[in-house]
Amino acid sequence: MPADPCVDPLIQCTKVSVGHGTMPVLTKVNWTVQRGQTWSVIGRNGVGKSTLLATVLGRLPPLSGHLRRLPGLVTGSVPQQCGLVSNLPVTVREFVELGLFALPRKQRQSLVNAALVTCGISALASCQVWQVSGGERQRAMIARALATRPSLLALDEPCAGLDAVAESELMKVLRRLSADGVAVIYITHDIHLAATQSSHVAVIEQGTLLEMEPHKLLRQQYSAVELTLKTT
Amino acid sequence: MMNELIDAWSLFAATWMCAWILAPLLALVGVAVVARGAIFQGVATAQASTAMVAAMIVLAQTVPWCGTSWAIAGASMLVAISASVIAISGRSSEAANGWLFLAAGAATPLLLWHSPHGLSEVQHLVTSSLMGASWYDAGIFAGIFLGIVVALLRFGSQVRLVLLDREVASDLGLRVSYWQIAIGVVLGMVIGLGLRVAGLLFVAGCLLLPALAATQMVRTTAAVTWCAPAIALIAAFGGTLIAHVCDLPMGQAVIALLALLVAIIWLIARGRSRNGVTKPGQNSG
Repeated sequence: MPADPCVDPLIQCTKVSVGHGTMPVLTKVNWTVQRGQTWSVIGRNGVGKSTLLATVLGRLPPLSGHLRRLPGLVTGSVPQQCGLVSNLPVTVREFVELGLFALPRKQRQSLVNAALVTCGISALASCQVWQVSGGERQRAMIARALATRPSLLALDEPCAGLDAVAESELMKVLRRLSADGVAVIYITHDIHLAATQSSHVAVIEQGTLLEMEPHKLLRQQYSAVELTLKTT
Repeated sequence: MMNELIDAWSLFAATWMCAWILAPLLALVGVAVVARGAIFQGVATAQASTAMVAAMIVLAQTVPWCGTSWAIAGASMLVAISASVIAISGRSSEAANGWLFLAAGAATPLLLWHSPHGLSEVQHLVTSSLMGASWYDAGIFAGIFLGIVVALLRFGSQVRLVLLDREVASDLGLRVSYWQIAIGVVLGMVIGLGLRVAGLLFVAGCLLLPALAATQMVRTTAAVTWCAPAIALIAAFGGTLIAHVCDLPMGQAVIALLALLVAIIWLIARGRSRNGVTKPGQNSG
């Protein structure tokens, strides 16, 4: 039976092991990502969050198990830091347009305009990428990923180094995307952010992935705080 | 002034045409060098190619074919290509570039100290006289320039992406290492061929200075790729005029004019940034 892109999961992992080379970092990962979901992936440093994301995006092959991606799935990714070289002048518009090299000019322009509007940075289109603030640059990076019209957007610690206002603006953009049916997965170390801003939480612990309801995570976090307060 | 230039056209036409084509050509490929921040590497590459010319002249004393002009050009081009591929792929270090520059600079006169003809050949390469340039050289440079322009019209976006953001280029399915090798080969070829005709100073100057000026003048990378050759052409034309009227060496006149242009543009950019307009590369966030 052909896949139904509206109903079928975008990503389905069944007992997947991920890692670099032959060394697995995570094993027995069962994970299903649907259209319009917002997943936050949390876990300590070095547990394999980025490796999992790279595998899901198709940059690393799974070591074992079955990873099914919806046929024709377009993914977009936003790295933790902007890898753009700073020796040449690059406007925000040019930066967003960089990834659309295969398309005709007119189509490129309309996709870039739409992505800039979605991310709320149309006014910055002619500014230099290295002139805008960290939060605005983060949104420009999202716009660049969005310009390729992805159904799944993966972000590696998008709020790292952002102040509360910039973080709130960024989350607004991600919620808007999610409402438009884009599946959003982001890695974060901020448990409060994960619990309050995402529809699903994936906790990486003891070498595997555990799904958790956001409110349970929040309750768990507050219980831990309460326990600390009581003991002190 | 223009009349004097026109009067002397029949005598120096090939040399001038070579300078007017080679300067924009070097500026065009120099954008890649500046984009990768490999400015010192660009100079070191040109220096290493000069040292290779010296080595080939010495080798020619025992292996005669090493002294032929094409063997010398081929060997210096090979060095330039190898160094350019390393520069574009970002695998070199500042320390290694410094070593290459100094070692090649010391080796060149040492190799040729007891060979008067060889030393004069290297002096010609270092002083950038351009006097030996022929119509044949001008034709080769024009062909390469045209080829690069056509390639950029077709693959300009890919080249820009590979130069500006390798990770994203790789994510989007571009074979970054192949692109880097292709860019490095073109760059090395232009440096190697340019060095044979125009010498170290002219090649290094036209490679770097127009692109450095252009980064301060325009707001997009795409614009830098046409602005840098335009600056180089203006400087080459102006330098030729000054050199002819004042009876000065042409290569040095062109580079001095370019250096002056860059200094003026930097001063203007500095003034603008004081008034609140930030330069490219400055991070306010």
